[in-house]
Amino acid sequence: MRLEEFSTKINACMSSSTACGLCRNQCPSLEFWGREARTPRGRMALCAHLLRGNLFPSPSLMEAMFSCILCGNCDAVCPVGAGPSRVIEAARERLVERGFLPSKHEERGSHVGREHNPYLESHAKRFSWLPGLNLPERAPLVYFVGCTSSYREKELARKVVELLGKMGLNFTLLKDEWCCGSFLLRTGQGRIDGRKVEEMARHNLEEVRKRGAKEIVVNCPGCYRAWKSDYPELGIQPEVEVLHLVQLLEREKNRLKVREEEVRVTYHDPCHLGRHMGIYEEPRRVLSSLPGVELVEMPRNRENSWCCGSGGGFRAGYPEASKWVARKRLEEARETGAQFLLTACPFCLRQLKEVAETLRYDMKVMDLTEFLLERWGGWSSGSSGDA
Amino acid sequence: MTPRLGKGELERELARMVGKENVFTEEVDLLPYSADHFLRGLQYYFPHFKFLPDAVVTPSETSQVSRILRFASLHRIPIIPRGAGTSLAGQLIPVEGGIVLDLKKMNRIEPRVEDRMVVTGPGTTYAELNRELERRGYFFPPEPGSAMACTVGGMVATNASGSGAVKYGATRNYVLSLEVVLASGEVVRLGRKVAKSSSGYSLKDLFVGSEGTLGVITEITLKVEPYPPVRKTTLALFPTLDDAFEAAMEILRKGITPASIELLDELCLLALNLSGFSLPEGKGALMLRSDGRYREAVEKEMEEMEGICKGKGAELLEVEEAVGRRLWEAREKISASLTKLLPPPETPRLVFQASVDVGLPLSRMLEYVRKVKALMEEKGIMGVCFGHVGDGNVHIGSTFVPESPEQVERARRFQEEAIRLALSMGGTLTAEHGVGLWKAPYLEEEHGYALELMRSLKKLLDPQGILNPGKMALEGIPRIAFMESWWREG
Repeated sequence: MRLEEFSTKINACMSSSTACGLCRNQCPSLEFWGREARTPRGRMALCAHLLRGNLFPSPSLMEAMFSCILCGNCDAVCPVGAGPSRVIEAARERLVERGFLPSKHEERGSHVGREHNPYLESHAKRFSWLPGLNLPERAPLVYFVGCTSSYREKELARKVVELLGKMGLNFTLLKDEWCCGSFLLRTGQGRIDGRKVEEMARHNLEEVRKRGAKEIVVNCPGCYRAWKSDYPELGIQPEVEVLHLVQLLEREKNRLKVREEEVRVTYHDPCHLGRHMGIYEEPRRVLSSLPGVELVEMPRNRENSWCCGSGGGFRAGYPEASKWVARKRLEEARETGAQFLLTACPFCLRQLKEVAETLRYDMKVMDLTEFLLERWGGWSSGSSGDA
Repeated sequence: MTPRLGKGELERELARMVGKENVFTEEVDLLPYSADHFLRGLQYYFPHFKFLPDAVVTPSETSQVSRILRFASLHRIPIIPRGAGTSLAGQLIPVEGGIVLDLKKMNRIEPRVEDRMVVTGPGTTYAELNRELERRGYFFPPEPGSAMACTVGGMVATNASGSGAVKYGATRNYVLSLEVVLASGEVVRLGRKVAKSSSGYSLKDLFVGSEGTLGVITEITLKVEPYPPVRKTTLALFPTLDDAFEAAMEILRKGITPASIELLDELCLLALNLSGFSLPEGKGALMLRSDGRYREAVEKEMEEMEGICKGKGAELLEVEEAVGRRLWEAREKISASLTKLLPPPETPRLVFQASVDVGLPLSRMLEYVRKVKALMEEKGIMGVCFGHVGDGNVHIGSTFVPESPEQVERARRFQEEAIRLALSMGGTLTAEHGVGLWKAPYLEEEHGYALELMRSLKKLLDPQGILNPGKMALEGIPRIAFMESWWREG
């Protein structure tokens, strides 16, 4: 959406009765940089002045807008529902239109247009992690892998395929999967010719049709938001049911056959799955149904969760700040005494795993998929007899 | 306040003191500091209220603040210390430019619960401080409406408080000691880190509520209270606002000191319903909270209050603890919810609300509320009236749309009359928000010659007048009389 379309939201935020600053509380970028232009409230003020023509696009305005993780904590606490993170996305789009786009994002964005992924990789190698697997031409369920799992968390992609197979689900992959467009939308590039997300959505949807699928499952919350929320906003209805893997796992709990093992785990809510899309309880219900698994919560959980630091182009743009944000989350996880920090997002997984390694934490960081597979081969959590 | 240094020179000098990563001079970084809660919306609408500072600095140590103040004194550069920017009376507006000190990074917390105190930096938020204290079974009680955002430094600088003040008092009651950097750069410690002291003038009290006009507070030692494990909330809905008020007075007359006793009018109840509650309609209500260490004592106290309310015809809604917490949160957001009550076409537009927070003797509070309600009706003002009835603090939120000069003028006149009415009834023009720019024109009416004493003290401590200039009428009535001119100049 364009910045102008948010004027009512901006007005609500700027009204003197509500310009409250609640969004400052727990804003990762404020905590790192410690100044007002890096707070949701400060950014909303800048958007307001930009909209009214009191302020003009500039490199420093670009920095202010692109230094937000889009974690959405501000959206969750705003008393008037102004939704700062959506406004910031719209401001990014305005800045991009005027030629202000961080060079890293520009390079990745134009690559999406050419090679359908933001990781500067070849499209031909998208499914190189899947040699020799014979998946059906048509199936009721399509696993939409996404760019991060395809290129940066290949092992996770492999494991999702393995898990779906072990669960006995009839699924396949798209023949020609393209980037969902999330990266472009989050970095204000969704309307540039050659990178238009509508075109990407239509392509992916056509590919799903060719597979005859009724459902799509994604393991990336960024893809999930794109399919479930962004495409309809662009006027494209996916026609098929879109599920995040945690929803599918919950629905198909009876198919999970895991060994009983006494372990203590904690769950990190990915921002794009939780605050952006409201999915908090499904992964918790899956975990609670597993024999021997004790789920302990971090003090900040669900809509109050602290981000992993990798969303919204933040990891690429601000590596130092991004790692600092992750460290804070890992410290919280460690304080719970959990042996496993679990999540349901390839971005969060990659970020938290890497930073945990540098900190030499003995706590294991895993995606829920990996956790389930590691314990595969015992009781079905939904059954009462031998598997 | 000229002469000033050029931008480049200022930036270089400041960078030498705090490192260039803590100095900001780009418009994008300055603009969000040109207003506080009070002016932010107005400034958006009226670009001529764009009071940009010359620089923003984010120090993390007292020694850096000291160097900056010495430098600022030398060059006569205004200094505006700032916390979370939630001030409600224009305390943080850099009307003469200068350097904003954003104290966010000075947020160290040293709980010393064995001494029943906590030492903290000014940039710690109230919420952060209490998170740390509550883990240890203690808390810092004043709980202003902006509790989730405001900083402890800001609370000290405005002597902030909120709904808990009736039992626990305001910020001033908790300040044991302050470290302050004076305009000259001198670092002084005011008071000792002990529970009580009779040693000399209580200079720390001079700085509580001084709104950054006398020095920059860099460390705060606060008394803390044991956290009450039992809390109980009841909402009492009355046939009339008068009944609600009379019940409150009777509760207090009986010698009961509840943790909170909040008066809400009809519109406030509607606003609470807009925050997701389904409360029955009522003309007036009391939100009562009792807390303590022992369940029996808390329940007994609440029972007694409920009995009094019933006697005045109240319908009682006992609230479970989790719902009670949500209800208190919603109570803090009444002002925000109020904008949703406006009929179209105002709803989607920019709506302002100036929050009057006068303090009255308890015995005159009802009379005041009645007169203000009549005044609202006479002037056609849409607004709410609520307050911390236990300590005579009345809040009046009145809305107006800035596009309408007629509405603006009407709101301005109403607010002025509401303030003057409180003063004429022996009240104070601000019970917890402070003076800032907005209420400065009325300060002399409240203090008379005592304002001259304040001005003398200001001159003694800040001879160059660099500390937060333009606030609290210390240099005379502010040049920018907002209430007089904000729309005419637009």
